[in-house]
Amino acid sequence: MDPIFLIASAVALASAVNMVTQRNPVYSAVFLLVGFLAVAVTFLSLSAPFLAAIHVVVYTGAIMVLFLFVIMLLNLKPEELGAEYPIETRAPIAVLCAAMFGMMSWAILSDPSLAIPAKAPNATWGSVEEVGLLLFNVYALPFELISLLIIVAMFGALVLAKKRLSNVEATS
Amino acid sequence: MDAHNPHADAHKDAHALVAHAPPGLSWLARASIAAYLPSIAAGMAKTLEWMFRPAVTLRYPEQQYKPRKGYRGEHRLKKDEQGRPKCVACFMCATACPAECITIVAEPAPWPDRDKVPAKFEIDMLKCIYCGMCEEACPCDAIELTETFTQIATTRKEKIYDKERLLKN
Amino acid sequence: MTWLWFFAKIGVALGIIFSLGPVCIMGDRKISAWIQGRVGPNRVGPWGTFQPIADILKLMMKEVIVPDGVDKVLFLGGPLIVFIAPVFGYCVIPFGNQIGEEKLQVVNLDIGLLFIMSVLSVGVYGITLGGWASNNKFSLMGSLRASAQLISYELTFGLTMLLVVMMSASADPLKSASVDLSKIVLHQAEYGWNIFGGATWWGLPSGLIGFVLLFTCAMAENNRLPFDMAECEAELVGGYHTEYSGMGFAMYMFSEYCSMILSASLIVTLFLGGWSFPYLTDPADHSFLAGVISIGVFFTKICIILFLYIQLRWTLPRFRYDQVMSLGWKTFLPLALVNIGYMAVIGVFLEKP
Repeated sequence: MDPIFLIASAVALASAVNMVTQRNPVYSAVFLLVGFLAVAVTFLSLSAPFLAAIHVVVYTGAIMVLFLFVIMLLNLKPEELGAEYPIETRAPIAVLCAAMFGMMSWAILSDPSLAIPAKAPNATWGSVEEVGLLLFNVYALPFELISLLIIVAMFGALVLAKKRLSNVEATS
Repeated sequence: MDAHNPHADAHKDAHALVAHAPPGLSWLARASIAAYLPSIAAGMAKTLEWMFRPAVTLRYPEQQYKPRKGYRGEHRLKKDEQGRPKCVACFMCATACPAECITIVAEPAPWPDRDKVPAKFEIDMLKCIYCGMCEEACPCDAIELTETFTQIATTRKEKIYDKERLLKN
Repeated sequence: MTWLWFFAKIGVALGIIFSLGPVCIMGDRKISAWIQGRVGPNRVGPWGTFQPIADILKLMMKEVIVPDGVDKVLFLGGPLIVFIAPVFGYCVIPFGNQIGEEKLQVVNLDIGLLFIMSVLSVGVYGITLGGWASNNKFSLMGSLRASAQLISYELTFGLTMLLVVMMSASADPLKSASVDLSKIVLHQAEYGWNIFGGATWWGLPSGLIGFVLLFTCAMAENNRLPFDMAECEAELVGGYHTEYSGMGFAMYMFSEYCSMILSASLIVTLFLGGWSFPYLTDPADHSFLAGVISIGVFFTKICIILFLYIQLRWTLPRFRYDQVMSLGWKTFLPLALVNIGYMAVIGVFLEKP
């Protein structure tokens, strides 16, 4: 297997574990950031450069900046972080997650049509043109539906914020 | 520099366009950032023009500021033709001083042409406001303000000038 | 031989950043002095030209003070992260025409434009984490402002880049629309610069607006003066670098100039025709001399943009924070959307079956 893929996925896994176990939210965010970058590298080594670039632009460039923004805005002190859940609560969750992960991996690995090919079908596979053509021809309907979903989410956020505003006006 | 420059007015116009747009059309005014561009260009022209003007500052240690005539710097006690201090310890300058920085102690004069001479004549340069009233008040033209303004001291005491220091100035 | 070429190209690319950086610092101080009727630094070396070297030496010899209660790892790591953007970003900027078979570009990525966008967005983490790690209210405020500003202006930035891609698609018989930066430059060398609308005069308003938008957004993302909300010394002491001294501060300051050079190169590449100039460069001429001339043209264009940057800094007053936000969201974003909408319509109408 490609050594770059191995290293990047090891880094991704290690930073994911660190992200969950860190107590400090800023450190969690930093490890999530490292994880995102490592995942982008695995995309690159799987000859999906467009996906890698978009992954970095959207996740590290926009979403993680917002996460960090909120975490820093709250700027919780260590004593405000609250007590950790007892091991009796955490253990069943861990078992459940591991079971789900195992089932999904088994399903993916046992399906021969989802197996990773040894090399890309052709030279331009995964390039901007190819992804764009697929997205706007074959997968046009799901693509538009997803944008509809995002607009609904945006309206939802607007409605929630608006409602609180009118409450404030009513009470004041 | 000049109070009325076209750049400032253009800027005001752009602000007014956005602020006083008719209701419902404010988005249009706001969208027209083009309104700001001429004023920014005017400002750039101004700074470009200033770039090619000669510098107004002095390269200090080499070039030094020469005070104009009548500049009021540190004081000097004058001497007459025979080398004696002109001061007759009349206390006019100490009375006229608004900052009360002049201290005089008189003693009988050793010469027949005057009654008193100063035994002690001190000016606290840190209290002095360099107004020149002492110079105007003096009946014998014994004190004057020189063009010296860069004397430094490392302690406050050094800035209290005594008679010898003032005669040397 | 290819390795030799590779290292030579890396040398030129890094040379442009790390030699122009000190020149920029010096230029900033000198031009500000001239605009304000002063002389500026003139003691170190002839006409004060060694001043940046003296500054760096001074900062290197100063103690790096790590205050109590800071997060050491992030505090010392922050100044390193800010260098990612300018150095990585310069990998894909084409700084000259082809010499023989070699394109004058460190790596010719298909996703050049997207790569630059992703790298630029990583750069802000240096400011954000460094400011948070300082354990200082003012630093925190500065880094919050930096991240908020980045999010607000990156949308317009991205949309304007999209405009450039659409411009290189319209009226191009080969339909070679691409996010590959060297192809974008070649298209401009062939059909006209994007600031003048690329291949068609119908694109002129679009190109001019796009240029202004990209220029302003680049200024906002670099935290340059009309937009330097992150270090705003009137309100926030020194913003995100309040607690930094010695080399930590030097790296923040130097990286600001380096990312300024990167965005100047990006503006030149996207809108001002990159290394091309009418009658001076010929895209088909792959001789050594033509390559050197094209590097010179590119360098001159960067210097002009950098001069504009510096002059604007000393011309315009700083925006208020809410003005920065409303400019970004309420003015620039709709404008950029309308702009690419117009360009899309132009592109469809000019398309010959």
